[in-house]
Amino acid sequence: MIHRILEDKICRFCLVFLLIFTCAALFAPWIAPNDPNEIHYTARFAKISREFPLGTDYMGRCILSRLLHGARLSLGSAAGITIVSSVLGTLLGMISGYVGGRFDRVLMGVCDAVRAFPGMVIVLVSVGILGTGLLSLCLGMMAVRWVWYTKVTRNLTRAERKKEVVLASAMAGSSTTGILFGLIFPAIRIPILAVATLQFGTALTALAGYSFLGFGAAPPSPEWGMMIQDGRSFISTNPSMLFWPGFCILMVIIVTNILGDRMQEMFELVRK
Amino acid sequence: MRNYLQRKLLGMLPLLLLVSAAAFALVRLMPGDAATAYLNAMNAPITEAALQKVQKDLGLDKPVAVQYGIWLKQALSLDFGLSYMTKRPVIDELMRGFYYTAVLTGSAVVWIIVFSLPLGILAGRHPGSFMDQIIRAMTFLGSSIPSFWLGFLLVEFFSLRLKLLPVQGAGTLKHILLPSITLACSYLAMYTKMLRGGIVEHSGRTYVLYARARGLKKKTILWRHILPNALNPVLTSLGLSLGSMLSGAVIVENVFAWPGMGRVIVHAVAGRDYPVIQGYILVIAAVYIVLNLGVDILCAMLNPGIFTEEET
Repeated sequence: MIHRILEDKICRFCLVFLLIFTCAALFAPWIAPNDPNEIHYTARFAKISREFPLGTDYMGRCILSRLLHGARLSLGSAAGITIVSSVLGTLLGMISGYVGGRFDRVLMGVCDAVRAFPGMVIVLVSVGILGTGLLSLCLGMMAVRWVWYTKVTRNLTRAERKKEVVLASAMAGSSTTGILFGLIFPAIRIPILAVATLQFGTALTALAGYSFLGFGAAPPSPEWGMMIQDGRSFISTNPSMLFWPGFCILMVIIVTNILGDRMQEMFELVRK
Repeated sequence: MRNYLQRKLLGMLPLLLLVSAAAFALVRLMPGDAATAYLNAMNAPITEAALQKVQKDLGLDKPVAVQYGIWLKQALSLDFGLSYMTKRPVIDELMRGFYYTAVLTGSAVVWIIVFSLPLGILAGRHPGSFMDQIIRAMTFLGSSIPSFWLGFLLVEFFSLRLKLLPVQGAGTLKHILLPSITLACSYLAMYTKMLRGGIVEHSGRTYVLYARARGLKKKTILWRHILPNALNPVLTSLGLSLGSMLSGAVIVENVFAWPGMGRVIVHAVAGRDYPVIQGYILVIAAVYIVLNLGVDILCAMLNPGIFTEEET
């Protein structure tokens, strides 16, 4: 199934695009033309030039360098949130779906309880207790997001559990861990990957949104949401300050949405 | 049906208790103690005498369980105490904000209905057509665009370039146009997509084939048979979205300086105004839970079948 995704033209395009963004984030200190926090008072609101490829902001900081360094924070945090919550949620969901019984009932109760509140409330509690900051924001978002994977994984696992292969394997004496990771996980990994891809996009917007509100990264951090917040006072004179970070977020989200949708579509086709 | 309602209503209680405990624990678990935070929020000097007085005033010298009991009792009568920063009752601030947030959400729902209904039908009627492709691209863009960024783009274009609409604030009908569209955008895209999917799916069902065989007009089949079926899931999730829109309005409100609850909460978080944060959490969670319950009941009334299905 994985090779089918790699062979698909649309998916390949999206993956290459994401790879470029990832590389830009990883190698930001080497690619960035300037120090992201270095202040050039003489070059405030500079136009696009060789020294400042996207111009400068109200403190004369290079916008491109800030975008590149911000990619590490924004994409890194969104990836962190997605990885932690998907691994945790998938593991719990697989166990819950395969073992069933009381564990399943309790866990589903917890999931329903988490889903009964708007995500915002849980993030607020986290930020209220731990103080504002990128880390407490991420923790709050993880506390909400694992639930989505658990529900999806549980239902997929329950469908998978009834298959003859799984029954035969259990009767032949395979261990539960062996069945979970050897048989069930390979069968359900694509839809989970699709959910994770879509969730990465929503995590990125939500993260930028909370940072924009001042719950996350603190200035002078070049986090993308923070950059938009920085730029809002200059919207009438220098809209480019707020245009670029938003544009980057939009691009990443469009690509992850296309990729996730495509993966889900392909999985549905194979299953039919 | 009665059993179902009872179970749902009873299920609400532990959730509300849980959120009240979380809101209460917020003050207990935060870094530093409540008395210092109170003095900080008021910009008062922190002395031993002042700390003791504040502890007495806020009831911090009593055991935690007693404090929670007192606090919960007051919260049940909608008394969340006074805001540290403005010294006014928290509930007054929240209620005024709630009115504006509700107006904003309501207008966004109007946009959603006005746009996603025709767009969804247009796209779903001829899947794969040129129109469908265009609408599909539009929904993709609409659901991907971050709301705060969209808000600024709209302000830049309509308010600053064309000078047609006010940049921010509230008051006239013109003020609500941009914020409500911004809030509605991603939901609008989602519902267009959902409605299209529903129409396409139902068009392939046998009952549609049968209706055609009976000689009904395509139009009649669409409006009388397909659409009601396709709208059913859309309506129930619209109810669910209402709750998330109320809390999601925070960002839009801050972009447009709309005086709703979102403005109140962002100020409160920045100033560590704990009574306001507690009140906000309780009110939003309660509204969300009640709305979800309403949707569940509505859903149950529309599809009586779920009572039997649920036991599997």
